[in-house]
Amino acid sequence: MTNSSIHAAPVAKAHVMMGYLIDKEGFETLIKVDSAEDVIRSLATRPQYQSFLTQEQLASQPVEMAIKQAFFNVYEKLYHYYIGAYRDFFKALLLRYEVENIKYLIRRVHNLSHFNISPKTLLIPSVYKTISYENLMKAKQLSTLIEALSGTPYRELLKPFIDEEPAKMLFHMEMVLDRYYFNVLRDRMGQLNKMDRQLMLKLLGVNIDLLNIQWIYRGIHFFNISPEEIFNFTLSGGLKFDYKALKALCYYSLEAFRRELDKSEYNIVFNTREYLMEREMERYLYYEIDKILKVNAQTIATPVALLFKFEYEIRDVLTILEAIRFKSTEIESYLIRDLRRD
Amino acid sequence: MAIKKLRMMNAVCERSSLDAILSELITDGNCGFIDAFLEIDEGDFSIGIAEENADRILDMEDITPLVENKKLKRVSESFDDLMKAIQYTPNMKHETIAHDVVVEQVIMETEAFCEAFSLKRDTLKQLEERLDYLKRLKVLECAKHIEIDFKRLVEMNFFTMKFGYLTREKAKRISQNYDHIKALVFHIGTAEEKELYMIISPKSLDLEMSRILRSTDFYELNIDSNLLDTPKNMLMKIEMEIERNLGQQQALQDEMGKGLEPRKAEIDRLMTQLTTCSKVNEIKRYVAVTEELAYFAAWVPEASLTMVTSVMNGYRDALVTFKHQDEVSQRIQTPTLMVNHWFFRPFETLIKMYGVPSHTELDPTPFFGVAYILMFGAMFGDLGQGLVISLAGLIISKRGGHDMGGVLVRIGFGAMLFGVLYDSFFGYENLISRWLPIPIYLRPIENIMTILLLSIIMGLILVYISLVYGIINKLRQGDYQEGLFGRNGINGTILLSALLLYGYGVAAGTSLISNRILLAVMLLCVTLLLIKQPLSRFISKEEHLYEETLSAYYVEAGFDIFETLLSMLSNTASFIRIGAFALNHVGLFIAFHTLSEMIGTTFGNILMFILGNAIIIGLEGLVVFIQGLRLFYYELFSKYYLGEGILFEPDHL
Repeated sequence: MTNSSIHAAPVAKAHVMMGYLIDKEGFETLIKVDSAEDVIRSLATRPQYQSFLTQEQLASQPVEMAIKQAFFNVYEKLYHYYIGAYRDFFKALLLRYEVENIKYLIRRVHNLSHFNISPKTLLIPSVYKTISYENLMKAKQLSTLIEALSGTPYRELLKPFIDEEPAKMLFHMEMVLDRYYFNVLRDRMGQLNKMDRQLMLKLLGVNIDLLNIQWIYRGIHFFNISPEEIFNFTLSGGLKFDYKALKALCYYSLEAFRRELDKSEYNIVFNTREYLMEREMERYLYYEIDKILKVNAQTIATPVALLFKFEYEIRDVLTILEAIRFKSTEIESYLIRDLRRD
Repeated sequence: MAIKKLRMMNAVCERSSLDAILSELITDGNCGFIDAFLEIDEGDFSIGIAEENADRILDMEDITPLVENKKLKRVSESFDDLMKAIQYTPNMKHETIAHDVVVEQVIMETEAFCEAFSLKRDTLKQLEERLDYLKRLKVLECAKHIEIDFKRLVEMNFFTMKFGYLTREKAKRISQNYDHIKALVFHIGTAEEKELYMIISPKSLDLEMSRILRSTDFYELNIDSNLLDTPKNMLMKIEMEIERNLGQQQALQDEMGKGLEPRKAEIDRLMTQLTTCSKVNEIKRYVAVTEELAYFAAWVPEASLTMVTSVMNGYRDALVTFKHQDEVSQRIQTPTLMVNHWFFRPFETLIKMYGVPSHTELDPTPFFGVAYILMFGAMFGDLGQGLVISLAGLIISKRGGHDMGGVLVRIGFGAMLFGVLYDSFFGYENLISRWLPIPIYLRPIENIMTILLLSIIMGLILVYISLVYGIINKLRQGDYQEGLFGRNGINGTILLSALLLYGYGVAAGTSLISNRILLAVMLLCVTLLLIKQPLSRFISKEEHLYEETLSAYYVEAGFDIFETLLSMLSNTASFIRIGAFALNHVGLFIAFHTLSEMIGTTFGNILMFILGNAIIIGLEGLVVFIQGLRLFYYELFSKYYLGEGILFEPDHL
């Protein structure tokens, strides 16, 4: 099949939905609103949220869940336009939510203070579900949690780290889970048509670079994990950093590490406060997607970009709601998008 | 013969008699239990407000769900395990069910039984595990070329040797970092798509090395010290041990089998009781309890009410009420219980392939059954081939495929019926008429136009029956908009009739009713179609006449009319295929007949006769089967059948 016959319908659909997304002005208005109810009311006028933010919906679940459901709704709509390798790829993208859920569950048993968080807040895509959440939610200890994962690839991944010291253990587990996700994703990308494959590998490459940098930084300078180990964990297939560069990064001192990154494309990620690192990485990706989108019309880029942008929109919306709840005055700096950028 | 009415049972009993009651109810298998909390949450749970019951209602405030008996589950699993290990499939013995049996008692008995075999079973398990391990070690095959004694490698004083799987990518990672990692990494070979590596590093770096290997997802293969040797010798040792273990395993299984022989009755009884208790346990998830009482809810067919009531009456203090379907909250969907005459029952499978009728719909099975038999017969009319299909159906039924077999028997019968009419026996025309010279025969190939016309008439009859079904369904569900004014409602039926009469008039040159009247009727019908929503809403005095904006509604309605007219034409024409397949059927055989004449020998004749008939029965039979279904699903069901129900499935053993 040609690219246009594969993508014609989903690209058209994605374009329409892209038009519904909240633009810069929209966000500028939203951050000035001072009650959560007004934010919700304003969202409810938009087609992507409309049917999820009705009175009945909100009566039965927290607004966060309703908003997230809106996201999966869009996701599944796109997903059904594809068949074969493309459908597999979109399915693999959903694996991320499963991986994130497992991370959350691990953190939950690890740190008992989160215990009362309702399982309803997990994001469980209906088209991708390989684990039984019911059993996982029952687990009160890490060992039982990991046993409950038997029969899935996750158990073998996590088991070797169960005796690690607590702080490092979480980091290790998160790393292997992320690594698993990216490996699956890369495998699926291999099945796509040439042009789509290249586009996606490029996007994945950026993602891998950012993740590797983050791992090296946190692993070596926070968790004192040996450079040899971290180097083994790093993912190959990055866009700007090949194995030599990664290896060098693993063995640099903190100052040299920062210096090296300052010279690279990714300097923005580390130029502000540490706790904003994740946000900076997302912001970088957000604008990277815009670049890809500009030049590729009838490709997989449009639907994937829609999913990314929609997810980032939702995360920004949730940030705004959170900021209102905690009466934070710096909403703008927590958003993924940069409202000052043109 | 239709969809049977169900009642919702709400029951309360002492907690102590809950097990016995549930056990009796599932043995009878009449009740489809639903979560009692669904009813309670809806505020619908009723136990009859009599003064004597007042304290029970008060008690409902502290109601909680019942927790599952985990121990039972565990014991039941280990019992199944044991049965698997000794390779015996127990039989259910319904006569051994004792409703008043205490779960703990069953658990104890089962545990004692399992205990008696536990020693042998554990040995068996160990043997199995050992066999698995040995089989895993067979990957050493790819290290055969190495003539080093592994024992010496393992026993090195200053170095640690590890042996196991690593992905190529990760092995490369290690080699890329050789300047920092103090280890030798050897690729041994590839086995089952996995790469085997040997890693040797100084003992002083064991901790670091194990961390590094962990970060590469290294999977270590431990080799027992008594096996350690050169790979070649190790493989020999492994083979020998596998053989020895297999022998032991067989001997042990035989021995256990013998010990079991006299206890088979006991096993069957235990199995029956365990299954009953497990099922009761399963249903208990739906039961709500207070300290003393248990509440449960279930769907019960009306025909079984007396049976269920008599069960409940057998227990002191058990209270039960039955509610009609319309008294149950809309949020609890009423399931559908289809009860059909034995003749039509097999066709339920084909109906369910489309969807289960909802409990407010008419059961389409009898109509479907009769029409499908006729339709298949008309398309596949042949006495001999029909007989083959029927016989095949009988055989399938005997082998357990009752539904599919039943369908085949019946449609084969239809084919035989039409075979006589078409004067066709295994493709040969004029045979039946010679045996039975009566003037009823209608050979398709000689009467092409008649056959095609008749098939359209047959189609029309079916369409009209469907429309009647549809109208009844719609009106029963209170959907007046579609039932009265819709395209498959009364309005649509009149429009179709007017169109047909008009078409007949044009074709035949003489009209039964004046064309003007027909045109006026058509115009009226179309107008009604156009305004069906506002009209029906006006009649039912609803506030808003339109569900959407005015322009959207009329654009949609306009297209809808266009589509209605088009589909009336295409639906009717669609039935030509019945005649077409009847012709096709004869045509195919003529082709084979010609082939056999070309061969010209007796052998060729016989070969073509068998081959031709086999292909026609197999291939054309399948095509006709599917075409018949298609006509039903697409042309007819769309008129009257939604199939949005859920099946009533009573809980039974």
